[in-house]
Amino acid sequence: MSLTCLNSEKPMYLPFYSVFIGFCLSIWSCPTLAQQKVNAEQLIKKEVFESRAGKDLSVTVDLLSDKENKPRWYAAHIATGVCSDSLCKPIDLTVYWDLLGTFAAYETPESSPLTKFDHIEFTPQDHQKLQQILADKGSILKDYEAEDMVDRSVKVYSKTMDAVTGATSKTFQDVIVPGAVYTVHTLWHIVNGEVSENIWKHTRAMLNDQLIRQMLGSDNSAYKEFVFNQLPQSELNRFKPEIIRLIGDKDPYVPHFAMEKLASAVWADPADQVAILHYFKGSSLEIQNTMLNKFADKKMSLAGLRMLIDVGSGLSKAQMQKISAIFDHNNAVVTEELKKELLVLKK
Amino acid sequence: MKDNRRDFLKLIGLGSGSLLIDPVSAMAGVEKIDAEHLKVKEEVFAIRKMNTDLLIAGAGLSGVCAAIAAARNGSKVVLIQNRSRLGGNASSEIRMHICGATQLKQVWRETGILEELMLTEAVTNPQKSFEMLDFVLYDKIVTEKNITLLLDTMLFDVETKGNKIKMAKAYCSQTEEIYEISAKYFTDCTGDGTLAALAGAEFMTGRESKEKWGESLGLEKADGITMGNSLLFTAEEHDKPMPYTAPAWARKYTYKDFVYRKIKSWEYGYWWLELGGTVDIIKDGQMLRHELLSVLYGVWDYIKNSGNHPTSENWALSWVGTIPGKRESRRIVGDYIMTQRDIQAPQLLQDRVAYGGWPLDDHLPAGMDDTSLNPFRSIPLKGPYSIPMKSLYSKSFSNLLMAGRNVSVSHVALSTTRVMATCATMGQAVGTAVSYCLKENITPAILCAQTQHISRFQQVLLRQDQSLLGVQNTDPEDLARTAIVKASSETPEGKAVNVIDGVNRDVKDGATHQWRAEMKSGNVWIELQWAAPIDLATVECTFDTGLQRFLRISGEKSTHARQIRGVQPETIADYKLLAMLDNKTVHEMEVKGNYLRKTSHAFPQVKVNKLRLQVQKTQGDEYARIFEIRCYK
Repeated sequence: MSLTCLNSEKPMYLPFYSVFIGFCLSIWSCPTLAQQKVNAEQLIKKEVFESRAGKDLSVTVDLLSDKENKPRWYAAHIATGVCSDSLCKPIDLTVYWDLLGTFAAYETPESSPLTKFDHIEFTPQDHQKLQQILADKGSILKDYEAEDMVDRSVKVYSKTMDAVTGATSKTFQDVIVPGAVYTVHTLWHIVNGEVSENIWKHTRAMLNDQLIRQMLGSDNSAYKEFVFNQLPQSELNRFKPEIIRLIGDKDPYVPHFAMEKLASAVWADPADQVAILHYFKGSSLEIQNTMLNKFADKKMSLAGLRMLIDVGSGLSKAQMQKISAIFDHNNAVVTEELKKELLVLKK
Repeated sequence: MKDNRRDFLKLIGLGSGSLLIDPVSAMAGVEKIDAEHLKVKEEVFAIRKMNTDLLIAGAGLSGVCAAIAAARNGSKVVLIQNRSRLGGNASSEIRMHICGATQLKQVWRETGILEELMLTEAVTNPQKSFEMLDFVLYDKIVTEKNITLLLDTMLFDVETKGNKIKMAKAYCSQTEEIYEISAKYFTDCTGDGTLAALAGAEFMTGRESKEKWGESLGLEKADGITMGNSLLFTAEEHDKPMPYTAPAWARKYTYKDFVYRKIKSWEYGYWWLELGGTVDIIKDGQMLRHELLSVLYGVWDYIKNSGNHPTSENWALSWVGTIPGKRESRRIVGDYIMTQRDIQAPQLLQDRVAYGGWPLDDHLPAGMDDTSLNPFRSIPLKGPYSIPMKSLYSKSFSNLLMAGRNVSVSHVALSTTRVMATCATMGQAVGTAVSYCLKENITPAILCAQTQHISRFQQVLLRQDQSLLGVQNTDPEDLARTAIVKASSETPEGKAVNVIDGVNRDVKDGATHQWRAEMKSGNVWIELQWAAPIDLATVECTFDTGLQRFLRISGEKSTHARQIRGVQPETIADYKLLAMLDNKTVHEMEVKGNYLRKTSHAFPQVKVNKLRLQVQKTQGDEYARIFEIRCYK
């Protein structure tokens, strides 16, 4: 038995979140993400919907919220069978997803651990690998049948029973837990199929100001991208302070998208100019350049020009040219004092 | 004179601008040429009637290999190309590097005619000039006496009768000629399936739904979208700053546009400089080319002027393509349509005649129109997959074949079969098939339907070093197979007898399938002996050219980093062939400076009971290596 692929075509604006897993993997090693203490005991569980999870599988999905009623995770108990060749075994675990339906963690009861071929238990490294695989929405598991990932020319014999299976093909050894092709394949499809989509839809439907602020203020880049993509500019304008704060985000791309989502008027507002430039010093070359490009055609306040001088030391020639151009564009406002300080900087 | 030409062109519905585009699109909705008028204009355009065995339309790698294969097998070929250079996407006009089964990172670099072309180019073009690749292809084509090459010749019409194509019509404006080419067989290597479309053969376009053939990579709902075209460029570093100003119509990009498109170097363009999947990839070609140029200059503007790539200061563009590299348009329907399963869980199809090994590499149609989307997802394969002959001839016409990206495959399967090395192997299969069918007086359909024919045909292909899976040498005419093999020395994994074990390359089954002997002993030879004397007139050798490596010209530095450019060290360079009867030499020949994988030596027939190959020098390797020796009378 192998699960049918549950992925369905998403409208164009959705894939953003699904491929930002790439960022999660690059920023935090996935085990950390996956093993974030999903302190289920501290959280309040509420049943929110039923979902199909496979060909003959339906699960109840719970929303876990904290004491301040902030939604944190979704969870579902999965109990089903995995069959490879003629061997079938049950799997029993609780899976946790983040608010966008991305895999976060799983728990297996002591009585039924995850096993590979020949009932060998998963090692800690296997668990780590499995978590990485489950968090990868773009895994090739999506488009391969489990039986095609097995190399039938290499036979693996069971030591405990009268059974033979194929070895995991070398091509796939990095993307699967060797010896557990069917388990991993089945789990991946359960975790990243309809349940994941329904979780996303549920979060989208309950998106309110409180949740928006929570997401923008979180550590999760995918949450921020989600807010940026789901809300029209008119809605995003209400969260100006949070978005300006994201210019200082550690993710290499979040600051760029944040800057993109600040309306033109923000770049011309005196107080906002200072707030934005506050992040100039600590930012990467690319972020600094984008900031300078954004200011290029704007009316600068004196305070804004002042800040440009303050942060403008040690910059490259190209960047100094950008700053000079901004000053030229705002010639009417520039004081003699500032002009002198700019000249000093240029040397 | 000028007026006559203009009138003529107006007559056949081609305005001044549309000479540049594919005539098929120009002809849409226009009445057919009035033969009467054509006769009248003969004082300007000469009519050339031609009759040949095989008309091949399109001289990219598929057409070039098909032409060479058919010509070498004795068929007369007319090869038409609508530009002045050969090679299509591989030529200096487009400069895409030739991808294929090497991507599996195993042992599957393509052999046959393509290998001959690639080795020749690597050895004769140390300067890595793309125009020299064009030259290698041109040289190989004009050297074949059986090929008539017509450059700058546009296909514009096809005449059919019943289920056969009778004639193809093409014109060349530079030479003011109209060609009426009658042929027994026609092969569509146009990439766009133009010949097939003109004939009215059945074809497919767009992306199929999941349900149609049970492809998980298919869509929920079928649509008409294709993969897009790309435009490439090259750039060079100078010893002073090279400022750049983009044209006003160039697009504007910022850092976040390259989330999924990392710019790591800029001596060569990027495959993701791609557009067009969402429009008509053929008919919207003029607009698309301009949009691609605006993307290209926009990307270069970003590199040079955003400030995010300060080390690009001394770099400047040296070449910009103006012919976009196409990935997908029409797919001609054959008696078999390859689908996702054929790629991921390949079987040794009975009528297999070639193989592929590139990942399932589908590109999102939006391309650079939406940089927030990951432009592609590459799904690696377990191993190479076979391509059946039934996917290489049209189900609509009994004498129409196809090779290249316009063959009988689903959109999903196309994402792997479309790459040029795979197309080249299809070309060799098709060209050889036409010759075989002509000799045997059968159609391609019958060739596939009868086991004894397809087995014999596969033996022909194998002998000509075609890229083929799971076919061993069982040629009853190969006298080497009945010989006793001895050698001056051998290694445990490289026994002398391997040269007649039926396998001519590493096929990842644990055996080397080659004879190996240490060169340092000095006297290195291998010998075939027959109990009773045989008649010998041809000796063929298959040497080692490092098929586990990549070997392709590229504008990209990193692609060359993993190649050995030039002669491949494993290849035997200098050797002597000694044909002997009762230990007296009856024929001798010496070869120096060989760099080819497959060599063939023909000489006046002699009676021999011993053949010795004396290895004098390799191209660098400490071992002499030979995969196969064949002997024919």
